[in-house]
Amino acid sequence: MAEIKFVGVTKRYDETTALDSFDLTIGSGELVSLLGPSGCGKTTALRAVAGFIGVNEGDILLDGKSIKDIPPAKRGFGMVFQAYSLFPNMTAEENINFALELKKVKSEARKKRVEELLDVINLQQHRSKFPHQLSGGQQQRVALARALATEPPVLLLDEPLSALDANVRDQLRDEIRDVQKKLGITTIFVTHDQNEAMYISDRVAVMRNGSLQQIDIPTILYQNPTNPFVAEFVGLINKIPAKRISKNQWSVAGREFIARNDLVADEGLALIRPEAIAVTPDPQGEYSIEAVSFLGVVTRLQMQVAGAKVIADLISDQATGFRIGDRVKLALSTQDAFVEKR
Amino acid sequence: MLVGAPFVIFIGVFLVWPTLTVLWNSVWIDGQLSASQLLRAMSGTYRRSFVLSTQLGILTSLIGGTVGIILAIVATNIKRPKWLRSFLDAWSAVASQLGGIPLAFAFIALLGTQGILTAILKFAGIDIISYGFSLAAFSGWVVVYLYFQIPLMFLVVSPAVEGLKPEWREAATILGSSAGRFWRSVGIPVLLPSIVAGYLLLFVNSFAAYATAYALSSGAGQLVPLQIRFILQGNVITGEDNLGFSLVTWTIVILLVSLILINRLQKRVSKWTSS
Amino acid sequence: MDQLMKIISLGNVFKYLFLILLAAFFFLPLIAMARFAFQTIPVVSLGLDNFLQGWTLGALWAALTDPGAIATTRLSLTLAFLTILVTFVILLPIATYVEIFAQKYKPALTAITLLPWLVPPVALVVGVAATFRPTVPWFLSNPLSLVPFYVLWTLPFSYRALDAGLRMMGARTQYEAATSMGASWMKFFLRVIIPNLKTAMLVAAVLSFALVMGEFAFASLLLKQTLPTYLVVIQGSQPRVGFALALLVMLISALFLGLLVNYLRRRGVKLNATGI
Ligand SMILES: Nc1ncnc2c1ncn2[C@@H]1O[C@H](COP(=O)(O)OP(=O)(O)O)[C@@H](O)[C@H]1O
Ligand SMILES: [Mg+2]
Repeated sequence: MAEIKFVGVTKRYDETTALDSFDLTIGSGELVSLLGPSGCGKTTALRAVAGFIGVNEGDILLDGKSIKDIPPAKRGFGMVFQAYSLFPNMTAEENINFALELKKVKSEARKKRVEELLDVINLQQHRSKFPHQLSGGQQQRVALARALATEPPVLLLDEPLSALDANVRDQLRDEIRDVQKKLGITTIFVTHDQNEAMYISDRVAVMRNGSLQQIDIPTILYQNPTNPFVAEFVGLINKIPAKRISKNQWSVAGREFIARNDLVADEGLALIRPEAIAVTPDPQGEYSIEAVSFLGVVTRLQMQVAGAKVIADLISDQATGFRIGDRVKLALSTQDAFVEKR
Repeated sequence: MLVGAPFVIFIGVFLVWPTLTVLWNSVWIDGQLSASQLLRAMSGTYRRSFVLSTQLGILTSLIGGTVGIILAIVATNIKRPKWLRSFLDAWSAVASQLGGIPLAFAFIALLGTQGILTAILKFAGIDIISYGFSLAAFSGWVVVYLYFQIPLMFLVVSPAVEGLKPEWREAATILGSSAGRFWRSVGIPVLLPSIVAGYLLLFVNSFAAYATAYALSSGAGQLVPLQIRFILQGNVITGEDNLGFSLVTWTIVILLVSLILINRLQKRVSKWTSS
Repeated sequence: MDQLMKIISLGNVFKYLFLILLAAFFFLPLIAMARFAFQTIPVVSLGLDNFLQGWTLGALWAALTDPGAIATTRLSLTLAFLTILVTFVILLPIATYVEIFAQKYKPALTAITLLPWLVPPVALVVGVAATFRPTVPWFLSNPLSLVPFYVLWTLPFSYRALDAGLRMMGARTQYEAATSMGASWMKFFLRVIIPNLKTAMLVAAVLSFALVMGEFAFASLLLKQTLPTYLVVIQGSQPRVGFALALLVMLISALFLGLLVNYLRRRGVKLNATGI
């Protein structure tokens, strides 16, 4: 119904290329996060869909048709900004109503729809408050309701949660996800917070320097990243000093492996996930435990390996015996590991 | 409470007491309460003075205020020479306080009968004096007053113009609003309190301006503050003190109404721009 | 190409034209005043041929050495200094007190400090004269009797500056911290408030200074010869010297205020020079 497609989109500013041949398809009804470090072009991509910025090359298609020449006011998309987007001279209710008015919805229908939306965001009792009288979380709820008021085919969210306190953030994140699923609305969600992206998305698109690095469902992104950047950006990962033996044969912590990527250097860093390190007690072991933190289901151990801090996550049941100072032996599962420059 | 005593006594002696004396004497005439002088102060020549001062206030407030608003909007949109913005801020703070004698002199040198621009314009075939322009008359006062009115408006509305968040514009646009509709429903309503407060402040500022008017018209102007001085200090006609006091009373009433309105409007502004 | 089009687009042309016209409006009077003071040729005999002749700084020198100018400048400086001093002495304690202990009186204090906007100078002078002339006749004959009027008149500006400073330093929290360590009120005031309020006091002082150096109405009504009233006198007898002096006064106040704005900008503070 509403599929968004970036085709080789390039956007250049005076000094930077914010989007560099960016390709991405967001399926109808799907929630895709744009994830990446600050300045990688997430907002630029989103604003290109909204129509606030024109692109230098490439095109953006809605259901296969270019939307290049449609002005933002005619695209009919919904958008939620990071903060401060509610009109300060209108109450919560009036903000929502304004969106309906602009779409020339009849007075009767408007009233009904405003009621519905206030119920959805659970703000009936705050309906007559002005934005400055609402908390940050409440303001964002109203902004969401206003964006959804006219049932847009596409919803665009630019870090809508990043200005909120942690607990409010989690709650609103779940609410956004619920509403999105219920309405089946095609959604692009921009964030720099990988936990948030993993939690909320159908698929996560990892970006770097204006281009797409990988797009996949969260589990695959974590378990099978296609390059070192994604491996490092998504989830925790150890960087352990390694030596090259030949071509892509490397050795780390006394174990040899074939690196997944090519790196021409004598020394490098092997990228190993914390749960890919098996720790066993051994009085003759080469390493000693420096810290133990209980994190619930898993327990995190910290060691020094070849001068680098390394963490290993064990299921808590199997980690009860470890104490700081214990000597241990490590077994790294190095299958498909990436190496990167030291 | 003791720490406030010097201030309270000071205000009492030098502000409240003299003001009450004046107000009281405008209605206590020859040993009885009477509105006769208050009514007289609003008739004939005196009425004309109030009309003239009010006209000057409204005109310089409308022109100066509008130019000041445009300046504030232009200033927030110009990013290019970076120093321009800080220069404007500094210059406005300076120019809004540059009333008084030196300013009047500067305009005499420029647009007086012997002014350089007057001469240049005459040379170019535009004889402003024959068109009736004079620094000692209404047209001249307007020009000179704009010198401090424009920067004052800039100072008053700049925070509000800067407080217009780009997100509001974009949110409205993506909801399907035209630029005109945005300004009508959001932009102007948000700016309006500051703008109206600014216009009123300019009116007050012009109504009370004394030195500039004095220097431009050599003390003989018909503006209200000059009239009051003429009656109360001129010693031309004795026994007219009550009339002078009545003129003061009316001035206070006019300024008071404006200031109360300004205060109301500013409260509204601070709410909207603080979040 | 894209860029070029942007720069010369209609909106920009309008913007820069507007700024240029305004700049002309603001600087031509100053330039005209400078020409009048520093070029000896009168406007009537000025033409294209002698435009570059007759320039001299003589008027400036005459202004700087004029005994009347020196005497009245000294008086105006004294008045400015005393005004600032009295303002701090009577205003700082109550502003601090209200900020820390009596927030509910704040609207009242704010309103009171606005009153000087309301009452025209002539009303104050006449009112004070009516009271003081019969009782303490020596008071109004002394030029320093201007000080209370100036304190009042600068009040909207000085109070707003000090209040902003008190709010920014978080005077209430500071007080709780200081008294919990056993500091007395006096000690707290001298050791915490004053040092933290230096910038705000500087703002209040510079604004008051600029206002007093240019104040004309009170001085003229009370028949005192301060720098601004003397400007009118000297302009009558020696116009070019009067203009040179006026230009000097304008430029010096502009310089002071400009330096203040700049200093504040570097500390990330905005100057409220509207007095409202
Ligand atoms: N209006 C602009 N002018 C110049 N450079 C810009 C502009 N907008 C964004 N950029 C640059 O483009 C890059 C991408 O910006 P953005 O899309 O905002 O990043 P993100 O949202 O991922 O943090 C950044 O390097 C930024 O500095
Ligand atoms: Mg961004």
